[in-house]
Amino acid sequence: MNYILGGIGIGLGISILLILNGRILGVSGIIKRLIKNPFAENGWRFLFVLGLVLSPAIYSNFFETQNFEISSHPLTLIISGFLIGLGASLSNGCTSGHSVCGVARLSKRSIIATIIMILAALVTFNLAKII
Amino acid sequence: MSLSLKISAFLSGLIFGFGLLVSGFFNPNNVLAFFDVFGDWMPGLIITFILSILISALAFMYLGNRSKSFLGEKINLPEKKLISQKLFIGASLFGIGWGLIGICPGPALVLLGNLKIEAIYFFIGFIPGIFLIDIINRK
Repeated sequence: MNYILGGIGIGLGISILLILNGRILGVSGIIKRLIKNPFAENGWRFLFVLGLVLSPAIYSNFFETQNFEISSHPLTLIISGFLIGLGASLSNGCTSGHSVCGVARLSKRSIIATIIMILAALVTFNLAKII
Repeated sequence: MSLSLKISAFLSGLIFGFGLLVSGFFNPNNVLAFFDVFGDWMPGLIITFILSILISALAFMYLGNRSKSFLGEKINLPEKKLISQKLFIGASLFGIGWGLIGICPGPALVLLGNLKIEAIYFFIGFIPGIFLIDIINRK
């Protein structure tokens, strides 16, 4: 049930930004342009990120949030974050922009990017597990 | 008009975040379990993925060929069509990082709001990463 509700939430968030603001919800691109110019075009990027960052605080007023520890080493997080940022800028998108929005509009680039992203993640995870 | 655009951008981020929270996508342990196809595989996030794609596809269809959004904004869709080497390399690097930690940029912002120190480490790497090519090209 939570998987279904989650899919509806993610899809609605994307739909709102598309139908009302005329924008694709791609988180990596939004962060990049936000840093370059925080107040460009009405500052919609700042407000989007604000909504996303405040979501756990608002959510936890109504529902229980999963409690968990993240076991990755700080250095692994920094290196992976770097690879993810570099990768998203080279391929012009990440999970939200390519794998959800791009696939939804049947963009060939996004479908290819999504397949590669998921395959690379599957191989990396399973190799790291063996090592 | 500009206020409604601000409110809709805020709501979009908020509801997108609720989706990441309720599905458990924001929790890297769940994403790593989704990659663990030979172990204790948790395939459930596929449902979240497919449903979010279907709803977004409906929104694209609803928008049709309109040139303005329902609040009068120009529709900004990516026009790139080229299947380049950059796309392959970028998607591979992205996947390697994602497979190591189970965090991607959207969930990272939710984790930041959740006051997880790990989100800070992620962004210490992520921000130089997204600007590296711009910096090289400027020189």
